[in-house]
Amino acid sequence: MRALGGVTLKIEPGATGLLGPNGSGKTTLLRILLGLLPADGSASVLGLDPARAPLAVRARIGYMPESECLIPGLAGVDVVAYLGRLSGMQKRPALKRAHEVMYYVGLDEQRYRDASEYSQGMQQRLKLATALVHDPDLIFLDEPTNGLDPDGRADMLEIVDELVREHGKNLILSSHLLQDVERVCTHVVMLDKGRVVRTGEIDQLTSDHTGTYEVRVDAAPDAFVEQLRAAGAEVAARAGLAALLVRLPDGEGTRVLFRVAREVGARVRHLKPTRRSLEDVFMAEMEKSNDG
Amino acid sequence: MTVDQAAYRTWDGVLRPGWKSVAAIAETEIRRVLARNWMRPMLGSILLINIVAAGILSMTVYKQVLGGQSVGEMAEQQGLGVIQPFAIVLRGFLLQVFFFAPVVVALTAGPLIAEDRRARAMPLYFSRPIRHWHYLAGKYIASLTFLLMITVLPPIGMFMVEMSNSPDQGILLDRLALLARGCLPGVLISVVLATGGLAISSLVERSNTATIAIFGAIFITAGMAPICAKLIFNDPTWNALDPFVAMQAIGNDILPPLPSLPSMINVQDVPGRAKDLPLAVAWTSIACWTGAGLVLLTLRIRKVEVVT
Repeated sequence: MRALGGVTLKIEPGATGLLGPNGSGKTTLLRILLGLLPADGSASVLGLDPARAPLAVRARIGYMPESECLIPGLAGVDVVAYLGRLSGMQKRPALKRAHEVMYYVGLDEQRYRDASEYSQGMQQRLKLATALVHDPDLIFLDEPTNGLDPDGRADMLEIVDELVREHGKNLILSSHLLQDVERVCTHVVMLDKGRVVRTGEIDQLTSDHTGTYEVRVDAAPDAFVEQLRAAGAEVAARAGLAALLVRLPDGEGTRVLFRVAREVGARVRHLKPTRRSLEDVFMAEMEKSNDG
Repeated sequence: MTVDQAAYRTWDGVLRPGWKSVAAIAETEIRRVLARNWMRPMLGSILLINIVAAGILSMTVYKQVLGGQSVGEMAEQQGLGVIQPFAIVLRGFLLQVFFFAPVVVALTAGPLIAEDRRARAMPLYFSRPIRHWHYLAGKYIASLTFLLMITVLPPIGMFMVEMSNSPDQGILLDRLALLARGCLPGVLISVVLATGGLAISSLVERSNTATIAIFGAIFITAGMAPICAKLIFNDPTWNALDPFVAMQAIGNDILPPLPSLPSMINVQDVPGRAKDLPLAVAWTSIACWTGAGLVLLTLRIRKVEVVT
């Protein structure tokens, strides 16, 4: 089975979201970058080739897997310390560090409990702690908010956001939840059916408007709307706002708006290019991908 | 340990991944096994085995405190030589071990990989800088530790006590090779059992299933061997299908001869299927079982590593 094909991408430092529907190849891409799965092409992670030096790559990466997984029969802090030792830490420093990261992820009071008794939210935090124990240069988070209630999800995203913004951690967050990616990441890689369909800075992608403006005039808009439509524009009322969404005809600038307003005796009070949400961008790319 | 750090802190230590992870895995697995509920009966078994060695120790204490005789001295008086009591006790002891070793391997090796698979722990392991053989070696050492506690530790204890109380203390150093030979059968059967136990553990996802499967595999091989040897091929060589018989044959050969003892405990007259088994076939059997187990285990773990 070919899970990924023709993937060429460069991931910038900072927080990058891997966005795609289930089965799009997000987890497969992470596993290739960890050196866990073979790939035909080549990859470089932190300057290292994961196919040739998988151990060196994994020593510098903290991985939070998607699936529910735990080391059975150990207390939470022992799981973290154990995985720290497997990353190459000495026994005592690993235990000390395990206490620190358990505290950081909010499991300090639960650290001596058997990890198999943890709730799903606590297990997600525990997995995050295991990813952080050796203070990696790069963190892979695979669906970190899976199965969390709204409060747990907000807490998890806050921790992750803090790691990026206040502690300068580099991370790749794989998720099918647009809001998670939008909340934490500055860059995004969109995947569908094993192919990269779009990459870029989220700010840039969402401001990449297609001639659509948010417009408000100081008079009753009916005549204004009618004239605009006559001029070839598409006009819609924006829900919850007293503004109109106007998509100008191809090749027309904003001058047409002022001309039409003058003609109907109104003045333009508000004019702003609309920003698309990440969801709009994502849905558009998915549509294109399906058409292709 | 008190923790008063509120924020994320960097860690500036040096990571040294590699063989130390094997020690970490082995140590953690031993702790996990010891924490299990059913460890009590197993510890009881191990205790029982070691009582055999303690019996000889008590005779030593008797000699030193009350001026009695050590086993070695008694043997000397009977014209048997210092080494012979060790061989007698060890031969009987190894037969007892055959009963306990399957119990120990089923209870310790059975859950080692099966539990990890059930808890889907593989992504946690293999996203770390460890190779699959680090993982296997750690599990193997843990499993072997428990087996060696009943197959090798008591013979060492018996030998040390025996030799240290012999009239000629210098004999201890002269006879270290004998100690190695005395321990070899236990080591061999431990290696075969640990390999087979872990291989079976890697095939299933429930520790109970693994435990039962290990018992089943031991009884099936033990049952199949005489059937093949007598009913199907009419050739005693097929007894080597049972690794316990193979081990017994090797043990019979390498333990010291006991010419002046009753025939029932003499090397040549040890009853059972091992008597007719050529030594080369016995060694081949042990090697084949161990090799097959290792190949199966390696293939399984490679596959598990990939599909995690």
